[in-house]
Amino acid sequence: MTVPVQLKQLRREFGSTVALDGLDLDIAPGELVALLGPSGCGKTTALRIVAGFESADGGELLMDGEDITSVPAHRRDIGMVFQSYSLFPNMTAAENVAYGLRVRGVSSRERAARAGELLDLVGLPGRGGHYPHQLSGGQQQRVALARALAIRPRVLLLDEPLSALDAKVRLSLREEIRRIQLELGITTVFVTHDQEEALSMADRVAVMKDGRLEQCAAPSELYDRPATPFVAEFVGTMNRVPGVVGAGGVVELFGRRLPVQGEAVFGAGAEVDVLIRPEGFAVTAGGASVVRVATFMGATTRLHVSTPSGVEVKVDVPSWEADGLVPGVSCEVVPHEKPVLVAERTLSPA
Amino acid sequence: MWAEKLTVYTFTGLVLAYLYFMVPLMVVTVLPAFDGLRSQWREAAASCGATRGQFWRHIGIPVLTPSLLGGAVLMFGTAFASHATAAVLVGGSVQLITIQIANALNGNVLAGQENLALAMSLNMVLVALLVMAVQIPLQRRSARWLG
Amino acid sequence: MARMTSRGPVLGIAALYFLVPVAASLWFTIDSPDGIGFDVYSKGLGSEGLTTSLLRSVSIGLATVALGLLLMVPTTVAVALRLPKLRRIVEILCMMPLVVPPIALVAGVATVLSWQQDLATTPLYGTFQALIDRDFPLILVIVYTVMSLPFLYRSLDAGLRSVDLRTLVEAARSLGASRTQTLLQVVAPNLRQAVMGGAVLSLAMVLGEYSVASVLGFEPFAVWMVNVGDSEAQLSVAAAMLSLLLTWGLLLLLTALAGGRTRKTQSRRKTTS
Repeated sequence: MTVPVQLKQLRREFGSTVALDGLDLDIAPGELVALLGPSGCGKTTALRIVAGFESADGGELLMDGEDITSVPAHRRDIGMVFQSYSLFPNMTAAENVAYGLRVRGVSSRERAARAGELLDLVGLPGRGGHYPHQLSGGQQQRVALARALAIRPRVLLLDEPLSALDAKVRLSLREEIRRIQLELGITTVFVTHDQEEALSMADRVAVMKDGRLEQCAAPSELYDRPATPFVAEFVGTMNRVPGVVGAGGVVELFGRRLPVQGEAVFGAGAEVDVLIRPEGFAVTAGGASVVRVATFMGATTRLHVSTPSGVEVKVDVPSWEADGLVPGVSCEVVPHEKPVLVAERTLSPA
Repeated sequence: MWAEKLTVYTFTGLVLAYLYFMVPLMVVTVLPAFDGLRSQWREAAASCGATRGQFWRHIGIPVLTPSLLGGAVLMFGTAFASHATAAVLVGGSVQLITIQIANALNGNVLAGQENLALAMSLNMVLVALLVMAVQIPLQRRSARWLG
Repeated sequence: MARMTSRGPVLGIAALYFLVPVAASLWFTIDSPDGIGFDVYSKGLGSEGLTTSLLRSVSIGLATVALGLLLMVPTTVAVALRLPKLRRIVEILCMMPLVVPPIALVAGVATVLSWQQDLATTPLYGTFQALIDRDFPLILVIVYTVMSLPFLYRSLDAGLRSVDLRTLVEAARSLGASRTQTLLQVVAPNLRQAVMGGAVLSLAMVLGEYSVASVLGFEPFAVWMVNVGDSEAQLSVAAAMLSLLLTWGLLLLLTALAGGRTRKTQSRRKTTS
């Protein structure tokens, strides 16, 4: 029942704005892919095209190998969870969940049984008789999820389902959605602008920008081996340190020679910005740099360090190592021996 | 012949005149409900497999009904209480309670009818209270579903 | 819900709906056996009956607005700031005039006025005389004030709710403003929109009111229009056109005031984002 989904060169324009500029994405059966990106990158448009609420101006959409680009939304056999306000107000939770079955002509006894089953699955046993206005935001989204799953859809689509909820509810619901998705093994596409959500839930994350796919990879790969500077800076925090490319594809930084990751785009002598993660540095006491700010964040402490060249870097150290590193203390910052990503030099400070 | 009968100065004519200024009033009262129909419901229904007709039958019309009924009840109340239009148009030829009260107070038909006017007024207030008693819960239900 | 039909035809039908009767009325006023004449406007609108009754209505209207605001502004502000428990009661009291149809209301008023006979020898006689003075009937002012309470309350309540008065007052007080200063410099300006809105609605109501005035035997503008219609139909309709213009003018004023506020907040938002 679980099917692959393919987006081929999808294009969508709204007047003079290009929302999708040739999007290519392959989703394997049973996979949870998160569409992540800043607002306006086209992720919601892409999802709505898959759902059938918008039509693509160009390209194809295949589900289980079948071209469904021109199939109307109500015949696509998908389940969709919206950001908010999607439950039918004149029906109880159980009636909402059973709606998809009702329009398919399933008997009322079977509908009631299935609704009960799904409400149990999403953690709302016995709430079938409540109306949407009697349920909290988190509970409403659970019902919405149950409703989407009731018809055993081929694909599950979620459009920022957690964005309208409180932080705490968001966290618990996030885990539940992933648990249910794995249990049912259903192909899922999940749109979010919250990278933490995407990284923690998805099998693969598709980072989008300006209607195109920047990179689609497993969370750890996105973090460790970002394909473009945009992905590098969008996912997690990145320091930008000016440097010069030396011979043999290396760059010199704080006394260390570091190999440049990826294709050699910049020739020797090119002035670039080196991208390093805060945890990519080691800090020792005593040296030419000075600690400016130290922020305790629990397990790690984030230091803002001023280097002799004037550049300020953010460095994360485990808190138990950060005892003596307080504002005003002099220290030494050394990058770990790992390949680094380089990008075009930007003139203004990041 | 038919055109001769169709003047404003008859019962039908009065109804038409009332309709003229109450249709906009009904539109203004009911329009927020139509605006409140969220596009997510339409899309959610489609994702569940409902056609447009099924959406309107199962969700659209039931959600709009309290507001429509509330509007209708409000129109009844307004028409019932209306005096000015009726007085100017039909005067004595159509029997309406508001006109009766006015006549009783003015001593136009019979003198000394003030008490009758008060009694009829009390009846009107009771009807108005009943109208509100029906309209307010309908309004609340509509706001709850569409708010 | 999606715009399923284009706006053009809908606006067209609406325009016809409202304009055809107005056009017909206008035609009626200028159509005479000798061809088209604008006499009724040049001569008629200056006529004494019209100006007296119109001035009467306007003065009654202004007095009504003044009395209504004098009553409602302190009340609503006090309830918002100090007495939140009374809100329910004030709301019910102010919405009650909607339950009583004007004609029923005037039945009660007429009855009370008829006590004048019994009280002819008491000092209250003078009060009664003032109430029913032909040119400035206080009784109408009082009745209209009661009838305008729902408009004033709704408008002021909406205005107060949109502003979070409590926080503003606390902020002003914490910065050192005295009670009077707070009322004049913080509360009043923020209520201006709501006050104007309520005032405009009340004024429009008074200008068009017929039932109460006619039964009590007074002749403000609306009553005069109807009375003169028996003898001078064209003048009556021309006066109606005039009152239509007046009401439109008032409504435009109201929209401009409301629009003024949104425009200001929008431009403020643009600079801070």
